[in-house]
Amino acid sequence: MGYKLKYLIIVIISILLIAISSYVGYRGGYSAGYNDGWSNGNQTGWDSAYKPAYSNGLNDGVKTAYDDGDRVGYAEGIKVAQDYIIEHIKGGQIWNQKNVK
Amino acid sequence: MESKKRQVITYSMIASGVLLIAILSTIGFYQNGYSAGNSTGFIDGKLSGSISGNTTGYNTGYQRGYAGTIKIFGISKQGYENGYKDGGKRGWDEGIKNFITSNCDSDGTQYYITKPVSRYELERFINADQTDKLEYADDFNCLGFALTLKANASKHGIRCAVVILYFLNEITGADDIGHAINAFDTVDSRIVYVEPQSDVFRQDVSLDKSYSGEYYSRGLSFKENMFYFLHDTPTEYQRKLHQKFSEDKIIRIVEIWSNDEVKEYRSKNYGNGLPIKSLFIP
Repeated sequence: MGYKLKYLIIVIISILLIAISSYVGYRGGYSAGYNDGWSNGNQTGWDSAYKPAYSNGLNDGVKTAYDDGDRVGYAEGIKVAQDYIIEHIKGGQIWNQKNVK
Repeated sequence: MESKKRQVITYSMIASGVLLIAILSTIGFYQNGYSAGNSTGFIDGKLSGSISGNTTGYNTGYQRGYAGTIKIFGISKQGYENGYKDGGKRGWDEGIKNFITSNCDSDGTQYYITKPVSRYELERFINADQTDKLEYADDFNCLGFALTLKANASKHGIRCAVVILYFLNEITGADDIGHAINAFDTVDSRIVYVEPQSDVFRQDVSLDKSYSGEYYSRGLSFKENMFYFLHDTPTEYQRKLHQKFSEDKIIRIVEIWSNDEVKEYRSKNYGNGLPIKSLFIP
């Protein structure tokens, strides 16, 4: 084998070795960096989103509860008023006659 | 032999150089990759965190707001209970208003045309009317008297309103204590208030002034009927507290003249802070 061919093989092997090691290094670094970045970003995103969302949810929860209570209370209020009138007030027509001292 | 040895040394040096370059490039590219991955990861992670934080935060807040007692600026907020009370109050107002406005200008079969009268005519009517002779009872209280007097006035063509006075409840801070009297429209455009249980012409019906007297005190059962449907039966302690309220200020006056004529007056000192809502808003 001539010495030129030998050197050619050595050069090719060297280039391949350097290319592979560069790729492996980049991929390893990218993966480690991505994980670290994701973790930091996730915490940052969570922190910035949680509080305002909690506040909105809290207000909506109170408002919905109020609306639900208002609806139920309103219906019951009308019913109680009607029952009260039927039971007591309308009797006033009769009391006009019988309760005069 | 010498040539062979030199050849081995040459190859060894080349291999060492290549290995060194490979190691250095690995380190260099690792750092580049880390930087690029970190930026991309941060963006992806932030997006993911925002979404999950938003969802979790909203759900947690919503559940707490809906179900529990929370404090905002030191004020206790109970959504459902407050809504229930306000809704109950509106429902009661609506139910009573419907009855008053649909019944009081009529005797059930006939509607009457009413008009303002002179003070003299009004006094004659009040003196002749027998409503004040009716016997007060738990189931025929101040509202019963006021309704009866309005119905009788309507039969005589006299314009009359049922007036509901609301007092400040020092405990709840709301206008949830009331008393019912009557108002008459006179030809000189003055509103005259009459206590239907005693036929007394009241001069003291005004916002921020006290309305006292035995007819209000005994009329406290009206309050119990009117407002305590939301709660359990009042205790003796609560009854005593109610008695105390008989000297409290009027903070809201509602005059119900007819189906489409309801006037409301609120104290400026209390009106804005009250949690109670009403349909009686002109």
